[in-house]
Amino acid sequence: MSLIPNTATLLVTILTMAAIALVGINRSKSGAWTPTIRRLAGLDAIEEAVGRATEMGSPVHYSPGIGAATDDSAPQTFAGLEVLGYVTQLTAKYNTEIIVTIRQPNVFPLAQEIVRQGYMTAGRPDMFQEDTVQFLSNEQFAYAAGVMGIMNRRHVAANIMMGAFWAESLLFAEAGAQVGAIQVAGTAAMGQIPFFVAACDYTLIGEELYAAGAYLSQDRVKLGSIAAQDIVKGIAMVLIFVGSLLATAEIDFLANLLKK
Amino acid sequence: MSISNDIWAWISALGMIAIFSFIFKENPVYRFCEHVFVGASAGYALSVNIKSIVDNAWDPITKEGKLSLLIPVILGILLYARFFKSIAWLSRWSMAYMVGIGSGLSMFGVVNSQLLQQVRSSMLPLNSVNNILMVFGVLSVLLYFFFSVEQKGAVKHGASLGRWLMMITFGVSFGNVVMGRISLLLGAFETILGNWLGLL
Repeated sequence: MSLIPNTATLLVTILTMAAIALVGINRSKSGAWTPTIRRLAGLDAIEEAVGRATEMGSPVHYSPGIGAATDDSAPQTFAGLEVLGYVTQLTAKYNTEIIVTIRQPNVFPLAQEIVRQGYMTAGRPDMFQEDTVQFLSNEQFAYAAGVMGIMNRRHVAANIMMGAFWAESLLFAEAGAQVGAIQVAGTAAMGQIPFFVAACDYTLIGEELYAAGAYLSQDRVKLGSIAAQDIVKGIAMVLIFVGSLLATAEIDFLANLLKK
Repeated sequence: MSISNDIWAWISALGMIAIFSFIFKENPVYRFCEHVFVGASAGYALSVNIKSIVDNAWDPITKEGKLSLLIPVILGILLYARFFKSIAWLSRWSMAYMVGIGSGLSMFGVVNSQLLQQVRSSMLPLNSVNNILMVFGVLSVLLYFFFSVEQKGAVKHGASLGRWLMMITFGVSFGNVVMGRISLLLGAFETILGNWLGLL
């Protein structure tokens, strides 16, 4: 058995990251370490958005993005689904309708289960309706047209979009603005963040979306994982800084090591 | 002016105008087109998926005797177990398999391209303004994404610089995409005014 050429550093990196994450999670779980997460204004605004929808007697629209649960965009989709659980519980608490629109067939059962579970946790299983979670279309712009139509016809008062988005991001945000909805968005799709920043009231930028689940639940396992990721980021920063100093001195040792 | 006789030029142009009508407000014409669009895409997806099952599973199993393909077929069928309460749990096996495969396959690419390659590309000699801006820009943006550290003192200033740099980048990106979207709009106008109405 031999490694694929030029993947040794990659293997070591993945194993190191896994080890750091495991240690972080275990220490947090055992109570030996209590990580905290800094304030994320976008997530604090979700309760405000649901509250506003309640006051107006209008529904909340939620989209977990258009990414699948089985590809590169899966981490964003799962982060979006985590926030969906929280939003569902809030809507149950305030007795407000939520409309969840789905593009990916494999995300649909997950979203349906999360909403059902959210209502049960909040003690309101009666609020779950079969059309609370709606699969519209797996064609990107057909889904976008459907979402825009729903937002307008149902006069949603809050539009929450968390997950992987592509070219439809501005269409959603504009449709939300057209009906005067308070909008909270979050995505790690760098090309779409500018649109959300420009058109939404609050935006979670990049990795803030991944921290959302831990921030909202304050679950020790998730907090430990986020803190462990911070350690990895710290290591990356040190490597960049030291690598730059070495490159200035024309020593390519570190840059070459990362190629191996 | 010579209006096109091609039925598809009419459908295409009228469909575009109907979707554009959303700019003013949601209306029955937009609604009609929206439902046609959603319905047609659902029908198209169904036919593509059926063809995919026939080409990738049914034919190889029945004509070539590739019985190993029964495993993904069974996993696929198990997804429908969720419609039966007593065996709904079986659908989780297929879902877990898909998510596991997806995570495993993406791990290599993501860690390699979004961590290792990025770190390596950011190791620049600090001998020009561009490089210094690049290296310290990357470091300050990374600092912004520290969640378990409270943003105060030096961290706050660094993270604040990172935030500013991101906003400038977003502004540039926004401008670029707007230009791209305008070219798409021009393409739509060309279809309506040229292909359909024959004015261009």
